[in-house]
Amino acid sequence: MKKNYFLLLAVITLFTVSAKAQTPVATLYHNGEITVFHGYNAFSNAANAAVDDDIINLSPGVFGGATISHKLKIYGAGMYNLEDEKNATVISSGGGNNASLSLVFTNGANGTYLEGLYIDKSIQGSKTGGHPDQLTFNKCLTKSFYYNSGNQEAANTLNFINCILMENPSTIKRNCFNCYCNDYASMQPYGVANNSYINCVLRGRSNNSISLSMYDVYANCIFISATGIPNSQGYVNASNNIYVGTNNIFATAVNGENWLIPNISDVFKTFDGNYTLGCDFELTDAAKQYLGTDGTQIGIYGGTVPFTPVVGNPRITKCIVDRQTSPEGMLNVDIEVKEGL
Amino acid sequence: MRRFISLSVTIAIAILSQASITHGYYWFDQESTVRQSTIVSGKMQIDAGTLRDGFHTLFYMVSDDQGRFSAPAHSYFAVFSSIGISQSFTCKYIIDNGQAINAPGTFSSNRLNLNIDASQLPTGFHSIDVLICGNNGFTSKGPRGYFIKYPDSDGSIKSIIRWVNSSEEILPKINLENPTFLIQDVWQMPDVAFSTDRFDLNVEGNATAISRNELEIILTDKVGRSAFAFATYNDMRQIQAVEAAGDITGGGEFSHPAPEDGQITWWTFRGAQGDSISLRASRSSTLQLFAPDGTEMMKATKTDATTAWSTSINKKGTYYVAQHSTTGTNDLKLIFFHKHLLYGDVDGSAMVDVDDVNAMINLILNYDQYKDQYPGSADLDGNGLVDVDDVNALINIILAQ
Repeated sequence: MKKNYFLLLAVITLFTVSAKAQTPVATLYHNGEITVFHGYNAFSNAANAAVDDDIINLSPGVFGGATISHKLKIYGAGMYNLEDEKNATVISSGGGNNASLSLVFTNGANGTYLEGLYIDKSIQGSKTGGHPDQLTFNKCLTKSFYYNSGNQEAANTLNFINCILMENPSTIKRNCFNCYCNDYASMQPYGVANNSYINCVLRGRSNNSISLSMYDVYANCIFISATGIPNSQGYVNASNNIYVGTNNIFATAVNGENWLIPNISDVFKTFDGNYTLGCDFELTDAAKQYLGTDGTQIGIYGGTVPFTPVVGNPRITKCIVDRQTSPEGMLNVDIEVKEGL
Repeated sequence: MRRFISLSVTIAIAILSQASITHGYYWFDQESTVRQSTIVSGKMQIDAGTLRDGFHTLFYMVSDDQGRFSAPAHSYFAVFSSIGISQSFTCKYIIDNGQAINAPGTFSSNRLNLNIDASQLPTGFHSIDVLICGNNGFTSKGPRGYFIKYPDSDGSIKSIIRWVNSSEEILPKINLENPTFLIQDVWQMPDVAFSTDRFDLNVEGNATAISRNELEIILTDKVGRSAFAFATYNDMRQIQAVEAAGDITGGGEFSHPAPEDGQITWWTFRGAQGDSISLRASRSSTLQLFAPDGTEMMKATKTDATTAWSTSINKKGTYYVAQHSTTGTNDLKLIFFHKHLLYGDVDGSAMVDVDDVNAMINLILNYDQYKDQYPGSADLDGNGLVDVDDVNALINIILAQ
């Protein structure tokens, strides 16, 4: 019996390794019918076959980039999974056949919704035919956004919810809910107006100033790591924000109540200003006493959509498939699914 | 937030002089008619009930009991109607700077609750402005709010798609009449032919190779979102007996007719902890090494004729070498190197005896001179050092022989 147990353990170990080696899979959901695509280019192939209002689902794994030309809903397994770092959906290079791009959106992609993706390369809105508008990223990690001088007049809007933005999309109007925005100063010098940041943590590029564009709305946010003098370009609506440092970024051209706290350790329990994948932004007990405009704590865990990387797709919480068939080829399966968030 | 001030529509102005003041006179704004007021307890009563909401100017003067008049004076005041929660009102809301839309609203515990139909809104980020309009024409506007519309959600599973070995075999799609969160079923799997690319070795009893398949599953909910599952299983209808072509313990070159497609040439050898082995094929083929418990230790796919694949083993028992997937029909050769590490054989004589004790002591006494040369067989306790503990262990081995 002991030997059998060891054998079973060895086999389970073997198959656990195998499970992680599965090839990436994309499905295209169109009017209730599902088409399956396999392999590195599965996402691109599904996107090319899609029409407006279709749904693309991506398994955990690494996919090549894609060009999105229709209004789609695109769901991945998550931008990261702290329990299993490989159980994420990564969009690598090849969007628009460009090695430096993960995703290219044409204006036909207006209204596209993306969720649960780790977007490893740049994102570009194609200028041809007009820039795409109202793209929504939920629970995604974005590395960068592609600019060139001809794209500065971009008027499209990007919406981010529960996202990690390693670089700000400076030339694009953006609305951010409960996001961590790294390298915030990079919005200069092409900053566009009327951006909204609600319950965000905004980390400025060290030794650079933070630029607040005209008519921006900042509510319940935390600003960190910007040592320069803020360059307010006009009226800014800033309420119930904490600025970590000594420069009063909200001294002029703002309204509402804001606070200065000199040390970051007085604001976050563990976050030291340097982002690592999955790091925690929990506030100190003292910082939790500063409430946002809605009466909840400020920062990414407050407000109406507290930050979580858990996606809305159905999640498999148990998957037991027999190790072998019966002599007749019958296989027992026992799968439990939990509704996503 | 703007504060609404409720003022009485009756204004009382205190008269500071003595009781000889008997009459008061006043008018508002641009009025041409002077109104008369009585003085009660030194205060002039003024009726402003007919005034509209807003900013006004009050002019007033008084007279005494001898008919003497004061000079006219004036002051400013504002009239606001009271807006209480019991007063009727209407609500409007504006989404994304669009048109104002009427919405029914109710007050409960000093909170205004609005029911807003967002079904026609696109998914994503939206702004909302709420207006409260009193029946007296007074309108208040709260701070702008923001909200997110998510796609429709329902995590229960409606359909199941399955396939075997990366779509090599696609099973019928399962549509569930009653979407569920729990899938407990018995599936008839396709009878996929045995492939040398996918098999497991079962060493219990007479060793067998059993076909291994990969099962991929997509579970899709009612709105088209999916979860992915992956599992492997052995198909008990596809089993091959493992009949060794020969025992290759000790190494050498071993020829055998080339295995046909789907067939495997098996070799076995007896190994022990510390043995070093190396495998090479005479021409392109696949080599696999399995441990005594059936675990695959190494796989070299379509190796060439010059590359040797080496490893060490750490468990005593019978090991299996599988050779297959070759080209050509001539005999296929396995070139096998097998070096058995005899623990305690410090002098390399292939025997463990008192000479090894002398060699070990010499090694310890001149460690710096020989430390890079001594064989692993001298480190009997495996702690990375050769010391007196190893001498004791060696003596115990000799005494036990």
